[in-house]
Amino acid sequence: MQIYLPIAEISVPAETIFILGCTVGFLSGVFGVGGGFLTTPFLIFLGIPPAVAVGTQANQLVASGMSGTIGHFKRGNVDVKIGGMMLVGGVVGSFIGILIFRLLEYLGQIDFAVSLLYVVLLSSIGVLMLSESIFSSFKKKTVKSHFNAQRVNPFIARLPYKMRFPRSKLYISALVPIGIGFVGGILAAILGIGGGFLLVPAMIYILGMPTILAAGTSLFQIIFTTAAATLMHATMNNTVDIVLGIILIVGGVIGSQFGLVFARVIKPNHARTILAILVLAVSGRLAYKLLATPYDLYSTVVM
Amino acid sequence: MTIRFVTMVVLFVLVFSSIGLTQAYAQKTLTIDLASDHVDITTGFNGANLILYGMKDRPGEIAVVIRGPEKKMTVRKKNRVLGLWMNTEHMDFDGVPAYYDYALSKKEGLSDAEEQVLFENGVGLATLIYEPRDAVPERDRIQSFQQALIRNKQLNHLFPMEAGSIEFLNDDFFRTTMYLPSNVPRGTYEIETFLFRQGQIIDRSATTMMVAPVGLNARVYDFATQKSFYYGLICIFIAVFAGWLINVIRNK
Repeated sequence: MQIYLPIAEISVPAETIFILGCTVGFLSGVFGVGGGFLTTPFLIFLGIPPAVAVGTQANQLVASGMSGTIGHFKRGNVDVKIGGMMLVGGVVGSFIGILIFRLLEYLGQIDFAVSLLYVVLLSSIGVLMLSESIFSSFKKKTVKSHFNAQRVNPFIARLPYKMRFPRSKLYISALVPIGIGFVGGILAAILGIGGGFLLVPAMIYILGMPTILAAGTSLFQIIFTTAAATLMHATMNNTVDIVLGIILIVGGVIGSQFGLVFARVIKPNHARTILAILVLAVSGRLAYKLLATPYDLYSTVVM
Repeated sequence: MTIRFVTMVVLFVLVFSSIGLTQAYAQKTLTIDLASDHVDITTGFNGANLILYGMKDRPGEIAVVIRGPEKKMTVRKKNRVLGLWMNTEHMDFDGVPAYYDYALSKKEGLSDAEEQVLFENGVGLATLIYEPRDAVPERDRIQSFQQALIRNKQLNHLFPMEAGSIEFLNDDFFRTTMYLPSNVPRGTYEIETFLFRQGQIIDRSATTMMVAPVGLNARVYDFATQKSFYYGLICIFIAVFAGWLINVIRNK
């Protein structure tokens, strides 16, 4: 069934979008990831303008951030103060990200930049995850040992505007969480991803937050950062397609239920390996597009 | 009494209007009409056929041309930079119709004079070669960009591969059908019909057609563009609600 998207201004097969939503929902159910890395490239591949894909995806991430946060919040795994600092940086980052996006679009480099950024981010994350899961299947105990007992980098220790964050037991410059949130905001605005896979390690290794708090706090601030990004995409660019968004979200709600069932069955290490392979596959597909000689060297856009 | 009066009025109107019509036809050698003067983009929109009817009362060939709203187009060319393909060259073209199609009653064996008169009136693929906005010295380079523009538009079904056909229902009454794809841009479309003979235009007739979203599509589009802040808030609200819903189902 073809459905006409009022903002993207093209007609797309509704089933395909729905299945994409289900798949992403399934992944978020199993792995707790937002799945933006899968949705955005696929929507662009379907012929949806990159700006609409990213704008709508930012809205989609509000939903997955929300569903992830509630559970963490109930268990007390959210540091609201650090999250608040991060989302200040996140909102500013989204705004700058949208400006960068517009500039790249004007220069005709948006597809290239988005693909390249995805390839760099996804391939490094994928390789890291894959090596970690292979490593941990040989030595089962050593994985988590280096997460605790963080020593704060001397450069970070010298930064001004120090604040106390009692929940995480940290005394650190407010600039650090703001800066991490800022990077997350830029990624959300340009790539349509929540950036959890980048933010969580940064919060653990740079901020020195406990792992369990990092995941919950990252999700908590993603809600607000992506909501701000959605509002900016909607008002500045008119690139949030609510029809596309609703199909993706409905698919996501259904898919996540299957994902949660599957998550109880599969071993965490196997799940991580599958996710790593998936991340590498998406990265490989995008890398191929950058490297292979295009079918037509010329492309046309309405300015 | 009243019935008789009404009947008389109706007859009176009918007689006068038919006189008016015959006079109009007498002046006009070419008359056209669209089966519908608007194309509605509905939620299930997947392209539409545009049907044009026409009548001529003199011998000659017919050409029909349809043009969408004019756009500024940029054609980009990829080159290899450090092993990666990226856009490095571009050329801008002004006044390119967002959609173009044409139909001819006589496609083969056109005389030079006929070809010439069609070209002068904007009929045919050859009229879709636009000059770039900024002067470029290399002719070859311009040509490759001009061809790429047409090729790209053809690939998106927004330019035709060749002339469409015109069906004659009798000697004077004709019909042509043009296909508007699902990605057809909104706006006002101009349709021109020419009656030509021996390299001369005998008559021409023009009309317009609107392509616009209707119903839910139109409401969403208007709301998103006119009240974008509230539109954004609604989008966020739906997402927050969905996220909450996922959680509720999960806990059951």
